[in-house]
Amino acid sequence: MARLQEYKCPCCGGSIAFNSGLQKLKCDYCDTEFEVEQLEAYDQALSATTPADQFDWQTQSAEWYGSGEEGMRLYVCNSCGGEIVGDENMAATACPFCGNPVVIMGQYAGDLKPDYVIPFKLDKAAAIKAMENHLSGKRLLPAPFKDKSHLESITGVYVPFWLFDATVTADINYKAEKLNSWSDSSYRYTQTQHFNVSRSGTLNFEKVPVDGSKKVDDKLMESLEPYDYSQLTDFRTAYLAGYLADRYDVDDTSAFERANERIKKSTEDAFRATVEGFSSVTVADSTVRATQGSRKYALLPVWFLNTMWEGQNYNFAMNGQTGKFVGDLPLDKKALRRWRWLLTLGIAAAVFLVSVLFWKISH
Amino acid sequence: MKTKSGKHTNLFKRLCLSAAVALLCALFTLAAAATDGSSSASGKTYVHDLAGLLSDSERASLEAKLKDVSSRTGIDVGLLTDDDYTSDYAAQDRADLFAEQNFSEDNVLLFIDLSPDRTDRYWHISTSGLGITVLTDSGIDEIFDELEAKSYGGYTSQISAFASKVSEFTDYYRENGEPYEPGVDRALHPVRKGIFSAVIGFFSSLIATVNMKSKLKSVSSAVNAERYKAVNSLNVSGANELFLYSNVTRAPIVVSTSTGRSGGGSSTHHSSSGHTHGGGGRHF
Repeated sequence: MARLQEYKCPCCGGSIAFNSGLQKLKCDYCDTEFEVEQLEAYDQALSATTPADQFDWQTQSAEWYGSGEEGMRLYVCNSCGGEIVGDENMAATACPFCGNPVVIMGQYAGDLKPDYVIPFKLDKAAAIKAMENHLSGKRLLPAPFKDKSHLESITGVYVPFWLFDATVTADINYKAEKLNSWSDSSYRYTQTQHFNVSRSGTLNFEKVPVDGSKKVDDKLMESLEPYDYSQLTDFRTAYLAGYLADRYDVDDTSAFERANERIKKSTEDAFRATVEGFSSVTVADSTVRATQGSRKYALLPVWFLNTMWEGQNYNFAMNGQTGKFVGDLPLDKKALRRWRWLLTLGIAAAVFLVSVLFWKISH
Repeated sequence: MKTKSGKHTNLFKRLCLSAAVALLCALFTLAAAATDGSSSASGKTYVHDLAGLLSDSERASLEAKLKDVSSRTGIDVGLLTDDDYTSDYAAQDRADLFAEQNFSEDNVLLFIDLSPDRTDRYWHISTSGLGITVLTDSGIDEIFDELEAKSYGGYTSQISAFASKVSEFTDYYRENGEPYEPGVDRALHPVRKGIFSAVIGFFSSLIATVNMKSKLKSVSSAVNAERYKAVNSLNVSGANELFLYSNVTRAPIVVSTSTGRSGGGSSTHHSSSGHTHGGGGRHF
């Protein structure tokens, strides 16, 4: 059975969770604070535990869900005996009955252990405040959205990421032209000089992030970039206490494809910038090969917020370290029309008045 | 008791007085009659019909019209008709004649010169001062076009149209700060100004609303990995620029021929007395 790690206060036995404000673990009951390192003992078991994959959970899930809800796992809370349900990737959660934070050690054991984590720097209150800011000052947002939409859920999640280092080799050929023109009394002359331009070389990239969870929208995660990598710390399960976490389910080879796309674009732009002094440059052919250097597995903090409005689901996310808040908002079509008419008439009237006054004053 | 000589003295005195009054009245009437048409309180006569083209009533109505236009526009508008077919040179002298008549420096004068047998007419407009500015060469062309078109209506309608046009051009000038130039880039007519403002308004509002709309969207895929480039890691190991060939094309320079007066404005010349006049003439 995969070990469920619960974080209990050594003083009073209450559950403790990672406090982003203090950057320490804090007991909700006796207010005692603990450095993350103090609970390192818990992590020593990680290397000893067999990775969760190795266990056959099929029979268990089949018994419970009958109709074939594949990939669901069942755990039992050590504190209250309540059943905790999660998918095969769930790595950290809270018991739905007693609220105790639990970490499923198997998900991070052995090879699956993350290299880095950026701990949460901003708490739930900050996320809600950021949401309020995000909704304010948007003239075309339907007014009821701010009032009537209620947060369906707000959860702090450590999202698994792959961070890729890569070395790119590029070999690009361009067709370029230089233009000269002059004229005499009867003709205008244009001289076009045609060139073949080539550039080759290498370019390095560091820690290009790719979302390693299928469940999480890649676009949403890319919109939250950048994370400040100077705050990457060695992984300790204690950071996860009080938050949700998943292990990756997109392997690094598949994830690298996405990194490759972005890397390729940046490389082409970088080399193109070295071709100077021509009036026009077009790419004739391009070979850009990225070789994956080292790759790191990191857990990065994200606050997910979810609202329902007029039958539609709206997803928002906040970078748990930098506070960057993103999420698409609905458009109030009536307000748009109103603004268009108002501005057209207003500006037209103003321009007309100014032009009339301008003439009157200067004459 | 009145003596017989005293009665005679009184009578004589009265007779002298009445005679003096009568003489004065006659003099005034003569003075009035000396000028063609009715004289205005300011002493200016606007219509000088030496060729006798107009009847008394026509002259009177035109005098009133020209006086009205002159006072409204601030530019004195005068008319001189003559059946002595003369050249430009003499016409300028006659413009000075109006000046001596207390016409202001800002004036527009219409001369109608008939050939002695009255078969040919030479219409000539002379402008001075503000008149030069208000009536540009192309504006004068337009006036002549209008006068030619109104030939069927007789001199009264033509001269009246002339006065109206001067009034129109002056209004335009005062409103827009630029003289009326048909066929040349001219200051925006109020309606055009309105359309122009509406177009600006439309595009500005479009830009503003697109900007507002874009604020609602904050989720998008990353385009590149710019942030993750290792600093100074770009190593260009091979760079080559190979010249292939060159070709030269040429295009003939098109000389645009301007039809009519493309520059606009008013051409002027100096008269024998040293005044500057603008204007133009046409036979019809």
